[in-house]
Amino acid sequence: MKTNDVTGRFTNDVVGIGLEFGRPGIGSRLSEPEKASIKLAELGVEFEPDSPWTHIIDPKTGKLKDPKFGKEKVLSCIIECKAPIEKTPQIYNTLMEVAKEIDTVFTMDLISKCKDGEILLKSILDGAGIKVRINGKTNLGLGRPLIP
Amino acid sequence: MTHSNHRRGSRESLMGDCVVFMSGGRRVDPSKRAEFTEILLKHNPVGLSTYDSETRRRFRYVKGWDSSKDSGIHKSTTLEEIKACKTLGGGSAIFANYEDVRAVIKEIVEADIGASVVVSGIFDKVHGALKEAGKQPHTVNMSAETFGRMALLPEPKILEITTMCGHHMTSPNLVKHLANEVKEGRMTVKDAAVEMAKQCTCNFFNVDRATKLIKEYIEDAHAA
Repeated sequence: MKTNDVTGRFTNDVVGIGLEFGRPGIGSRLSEPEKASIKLAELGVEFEPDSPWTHIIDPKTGKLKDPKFGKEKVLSCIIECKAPIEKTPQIYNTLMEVAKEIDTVFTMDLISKCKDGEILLKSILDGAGIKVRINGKTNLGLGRPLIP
Repeated sequence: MTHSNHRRGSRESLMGDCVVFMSGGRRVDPSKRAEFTEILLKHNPVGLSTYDSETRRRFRYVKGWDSSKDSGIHKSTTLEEIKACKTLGGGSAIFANYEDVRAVIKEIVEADIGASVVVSGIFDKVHGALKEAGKQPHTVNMSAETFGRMALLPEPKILEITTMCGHHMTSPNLVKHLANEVKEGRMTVKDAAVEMAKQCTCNFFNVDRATKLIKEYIEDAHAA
């Protein structure tokens, strides 16, 4: 999202989701994000092709390509994906179920484009009772688009 | 945790904490990168990170950190040294009030840098400042809390301090140790905040806010 004004990676009808496993400060076995990754694949999300996590899973199933990777301990591991914006509550609720099964913590990022000063995802979040913090990152939109 | 997205705290506390940085600056004219950093330098940053684009030397400024507190890979730079550099690259800075952030955003918009600029702070304050400058936000990254085995996490006041380094290089145990050093009178609270900030090599740790939070942590512990 930091360069979305240039790349156009996230469009108006898309939510970007980041799941930062092991953060803050706990760490994680790679078997933990796999639990979320499998559920996300079932929901049909699009895993970010350039994300390191996507390189070690089968994006169709969300499973690790090699089960032995699951034993690896990391300080953090981020699942990055995107989905149609209206699917956000369904994905969020699924992840809340995953949260009950994992042996570490994860912190969630929700990425949305803005239009006329409004965050496009906000009304969906409010409607579903999903709370977000008052602070976060804003791309000011000052970059030159690669495709004008 | 993206390096600045999940900074915790009350609105009052977060009013003294805002990070501004350039992303993907390699695509823009070097003079524009330097202009961006020069704008950051003008508005009282409490932390600033940049580099010399010719020598590739990195500069880390943290308010209150002088060379006497350097250790290992952690080397301080003064604002004067940075200002003297003729070939500045892009950078990032932390601000302790929104008056400075408003001024920074206004000048960055006017400078027409052409690179992606990201501000991590309270959404309504950042978006308000942007609107005043005649622009609208493009994309946001919102923090939707932490889930899972929450009992593993340190207490909330410690997290307010440690999440100022999104990569969590400032450890909870270091915070507890340094707070105890302050409490026992062996270290000043400002020096403790600088020691914590040194660990955050992205240089996003806000020493001014940390100073307040360390005092609050000591008071809370004393009251308990």
